[in-house]
Amino acid sequence: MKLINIVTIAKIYSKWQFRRPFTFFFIAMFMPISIIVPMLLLVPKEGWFNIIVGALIFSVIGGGISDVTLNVSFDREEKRNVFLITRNVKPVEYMLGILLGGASYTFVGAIVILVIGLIILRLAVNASQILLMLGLIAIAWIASANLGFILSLYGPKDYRLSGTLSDVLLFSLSFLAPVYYPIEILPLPLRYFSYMIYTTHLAILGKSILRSEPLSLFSLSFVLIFSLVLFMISIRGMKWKKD
Amino acid sequence: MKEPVIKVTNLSKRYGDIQALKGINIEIMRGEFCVIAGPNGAGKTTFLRILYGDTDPSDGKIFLASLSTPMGVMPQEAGLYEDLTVWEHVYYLTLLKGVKNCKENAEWAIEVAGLERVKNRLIRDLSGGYKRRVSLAQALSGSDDLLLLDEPTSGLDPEARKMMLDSIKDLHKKGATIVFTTHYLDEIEREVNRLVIFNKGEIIHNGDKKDIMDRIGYDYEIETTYEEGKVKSFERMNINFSVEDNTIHLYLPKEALTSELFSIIGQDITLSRPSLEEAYLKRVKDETH
Repeated sequence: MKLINIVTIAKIYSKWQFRRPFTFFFIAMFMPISIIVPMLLLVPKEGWFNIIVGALIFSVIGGGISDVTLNVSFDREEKRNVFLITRNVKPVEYMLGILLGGASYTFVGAIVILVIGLIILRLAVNASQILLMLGLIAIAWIASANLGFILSLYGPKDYRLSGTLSDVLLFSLSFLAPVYYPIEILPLPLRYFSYMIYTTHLAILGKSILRSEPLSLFSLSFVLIFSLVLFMISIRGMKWKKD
Repeated sequence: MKEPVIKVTNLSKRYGDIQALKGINIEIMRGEFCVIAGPNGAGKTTFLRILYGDTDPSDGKIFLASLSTPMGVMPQEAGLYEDLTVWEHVYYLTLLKGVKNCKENAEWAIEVAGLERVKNRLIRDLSGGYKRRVSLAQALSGSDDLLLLDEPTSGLDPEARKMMLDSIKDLHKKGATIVFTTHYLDEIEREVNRLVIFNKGEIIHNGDKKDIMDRIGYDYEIETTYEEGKVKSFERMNINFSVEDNTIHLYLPKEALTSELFSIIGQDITLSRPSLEEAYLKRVKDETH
C-alpha cells in the first residue's frame, strides 16, 4: 500500500469543494444549519442539546453515505476506474483515498456546526473533550463512508438510483433513529431496536462527551466493531475487474 | 532480433452468450507500430481492455515483457475528473504511475498534447476535442515504452487529429511500442508496421502492410467514363473491372498498364493506387461473404 497513492486520490476527490464552493457550502453547512434553526425555534431550550448533537451527526454521516455513494457509483458509470487500474492502484488505496478526501471537507462542516452548537449552548469544553469529539467524528465518518461504499458496490448500478437510496438511508439513520431526540422518548421495544443502529450510539457518545460524562463502553464497542465490519465488507466487494 | 513485448496465446472472452474474442494468438514486437482495425463490435476494445487489465479473459494466456516505464493507456470511453484542471489531471495521474520526475513528465505531455494554453482550465470547461487531448496526455505522461491507444483520434477535427497523430508518431520514432485501434487507416498508413484486423472476435489478418496490399490483387485503379465500346474491349482483354454510376473502375496489375490499354481509355482517366483502407475494406468484405 502506497501513501502517495492514497494522498493523490484524496486530492482528486476533494478538489471539487474549491471548484464548486456554493455546492460545498450547501452540503457541508447550509443543509445541517437549515435543520438546526427551525428545530431550535420549535423545541424548548432543554432539548437544544439533542438538536446540536443530531445536526453534527447528520452532517458527518451525510458526507459519508451520500458523497461516497455518488463518487464510487459515478466512477463506475464514467468508467474512470480504468485510470487507476492501469496505474496498479489497489482498491484499498482507492477506498482510503476517497475516505481521506471526503474527510477533508466533511470535517470542516462538522466543526463549524460544533462551534455554532457550543456557542448556542454556552458550553465550555476542554482539550480532551475536543479530542474525543474529533475521534467520534472520525469514527462516524468511517462507518458512514463504508456504508456508502457498500451501497455503491452491492446496490443498483445506476448512480442516480444509488444516490437516492443513500439519501433514504441518511434520513432514516438521522431522523428515525434517536439522534435528534433522546432515546428515552421511545417505547421499550423500539428502544431495543434503536440500539442496533449505529447512529443511536454515535448520539449517545456525542452527548456523553459534551456533558463530560463517562463514555458507554457498549456504545463505543458497537461503533468501533460496526465500522470495522463495514470496512471489511467494503474491501471484499471493491474489485477492479469487470466480467 | 526484436523480442515480443506482448504475446497472447489462445485468448478468449465471453460475455454471457456472446463470444467477444475467439482464440486470439498474436505477438507484438518491441518498437512496433501495431494498428488494430475492424468493424464495430469486432473485439478490438475487449482485446485492449484485457491487455491493460480492465477485464479478465475467459481463457488463454497473456505475456507482457518487463517495461522501463508503466504502460500508457488511452481508453476509448472513460470520463475525466471534471473538477480538476488540465494540469492537476495529468500531474495526479502521473503521480499514480509511480515514475520519477512526475512534474517534468506532466509538463512534457501537456506540451506534446497541445494543452499548454488551457492547462489551468477546468476539465469541465473544455470541448470534447480538448478532453481527448487530456486523455492522450495522461497516457503519455510517464509512459514512453508501451502505449495502448483505443481510437485516440475519434471525434477530433482534422487539425487536432493531425496534432495527436504527430505526437504518437514522434514517440514511436523514439522507440515506443504503439498499439493503436482505429477506423481511419489512411491517417496512419505510412507509420504502420503491422496491421491486425479483427472481425467477429477473430483475427482475420495479421501481417505487415505489404501483406494486405498484396492481397488486394491489383496495383492501380483507373476510373474512366462509361462507354459501351470500352466495356467490350476490357472484356476482350480479360481485365478486372466494375461499372458504377456511369464510371468504369479498372483494377490492374502493373504489367497491364500497356499502350493498348491507354489507347482504349483515351484522355479521360483518373489513376490511383489502392489505399490501405481499401485493402482493409476488401479483406473484411471477403471474410464476410
